[in-house]
Amino acid sequence: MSSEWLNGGANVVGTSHLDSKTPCQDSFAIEYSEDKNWIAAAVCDGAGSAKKSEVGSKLVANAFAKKLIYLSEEFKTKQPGTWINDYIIQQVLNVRNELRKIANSDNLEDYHTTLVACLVGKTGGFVIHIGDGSLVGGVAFEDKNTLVIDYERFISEPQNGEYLNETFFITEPNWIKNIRVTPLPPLDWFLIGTDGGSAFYLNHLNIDKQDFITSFIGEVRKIPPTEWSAKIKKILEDNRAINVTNDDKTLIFFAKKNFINKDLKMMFKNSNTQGIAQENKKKEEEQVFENDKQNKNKAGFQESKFKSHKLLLIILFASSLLLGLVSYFLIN
Amino acid sequence: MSIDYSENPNQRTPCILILDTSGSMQAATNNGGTRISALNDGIKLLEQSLKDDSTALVRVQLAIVTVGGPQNDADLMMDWTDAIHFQAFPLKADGATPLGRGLRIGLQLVEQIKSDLKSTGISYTRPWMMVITDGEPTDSTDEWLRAVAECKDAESTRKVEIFTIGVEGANMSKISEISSKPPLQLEGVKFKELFVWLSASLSAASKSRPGDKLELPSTDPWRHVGM
Repeated sequence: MSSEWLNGGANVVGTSHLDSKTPCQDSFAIEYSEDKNWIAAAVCDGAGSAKKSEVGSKLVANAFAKKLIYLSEEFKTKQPGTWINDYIIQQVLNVRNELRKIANSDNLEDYHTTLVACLVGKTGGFVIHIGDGSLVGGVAFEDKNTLVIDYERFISEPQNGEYLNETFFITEPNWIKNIRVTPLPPLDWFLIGTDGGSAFYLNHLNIDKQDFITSFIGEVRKIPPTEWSAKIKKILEDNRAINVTNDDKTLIFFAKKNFINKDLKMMFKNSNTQGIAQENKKKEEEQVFENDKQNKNKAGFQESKFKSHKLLLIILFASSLLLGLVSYFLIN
Repeated sequence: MSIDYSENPNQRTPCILILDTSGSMQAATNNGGTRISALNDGIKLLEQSLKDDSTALVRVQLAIVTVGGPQNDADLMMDWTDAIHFQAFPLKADGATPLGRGLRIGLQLVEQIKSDLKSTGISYTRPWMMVITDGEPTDSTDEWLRAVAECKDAESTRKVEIFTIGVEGANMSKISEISSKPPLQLEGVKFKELFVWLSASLSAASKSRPGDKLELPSTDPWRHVGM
């Protein structure tokens, strides 16, 4: 059975790491379920300050892609519920134990790594996130002769500490305080990246770089999916990419077949020019809030499309709340 | 005067200089100048070095608090200024060394810049506070103890990174109370070397990304080794 999902992904070592002769500390992993209905992806950014972070990032990325696909198998016999959060927490504990064995120590700071991982099926899914990196995607909507690619936009934003050179890691003792599990709508396309990869499609205010996204999707549309990974690698290695970031870069792109095969002009719901991108974040948040309100008013006719993922969404939302409470009590 | 961030939304690396400009800084140096003139030369070089670095130029922010000087008080001499707009100006030495008061003004300025940056949506690295003195504090004991307690607290809660530099004649044991990091002593009047180091260090900090380890350049060119 072939999957309705297509993907391409690559990572490249950053120029700053080439200068200091450190290896690429980013890792990523992609898995499909046996029936091809589910995909799992994980990207990890090993800390430049940690001695063996490339080991940490590789182990965590591989473990999460595999464990999330295993979780999808459980969906055949179990309804989604709060047990999903228990499962996720258990996987973090397991992977931390694996790292402890390798480190031969309780202190995992040499293996510091961030995590963005997702499990996505036909009707939605969820994303797990600790630290920076991001997942950005959209539910598309055909409007006359154009394809609005962010009719519903989703972002799992990077989360850093107060200072921009400090982020959160799954390997920190207080990881549970910083883990976020967010339900995903039934996305038609999404990009996942470490912070180096995210710099291509998000600006410093976490606003989409729409020009990059539309031209990128436009280009991959023209080539066979087997060439997507090579294309992404080429983009990440381009000399001009040095101006974007000198960090290690990982970028994965997923798209549904029926989305990528539509030969329509792509556009964003609200085009943001460079000027808007420079505006302060507060304005942007107000805009997103306003859009959300408008969407709610318009969403009626799309109801059937969203019905099935609503249940998952509600359950995951409730689970996230529970997770928050558990973390709060654990920490205090 | 507040900074217009709309014309430069770059991330920022703020650094406040707490500079001793007390009467003892008038002391003559071997090369015919004075400590204060050497300090002024160093600050000029800091301006030049920052302006020669295209990243530091748009990301580093400076503020200057003087301790002593003609006003014989701790004063904000220069409010937060982007490196691109920074112009060195000569400082005059006179009066006593109310360092404790200077440190407290510095900590307030650090909180103020963080709050400004936060409200504008500009990301930033941990602010630095660089303290340079050649004497010993003349504050009341209460004022001094309050200042060092505030510095230690700000340091342990990661509000600020404090560096303390003693110029010849400084009471090193007193300055060591400011920070958990031991103070470094300046070799002679190598202010120029010190400020070139500061510029290079700020440049490195201004380029840092999440998870990066900040490698600062060697302090050998200006640090006095042995007591």
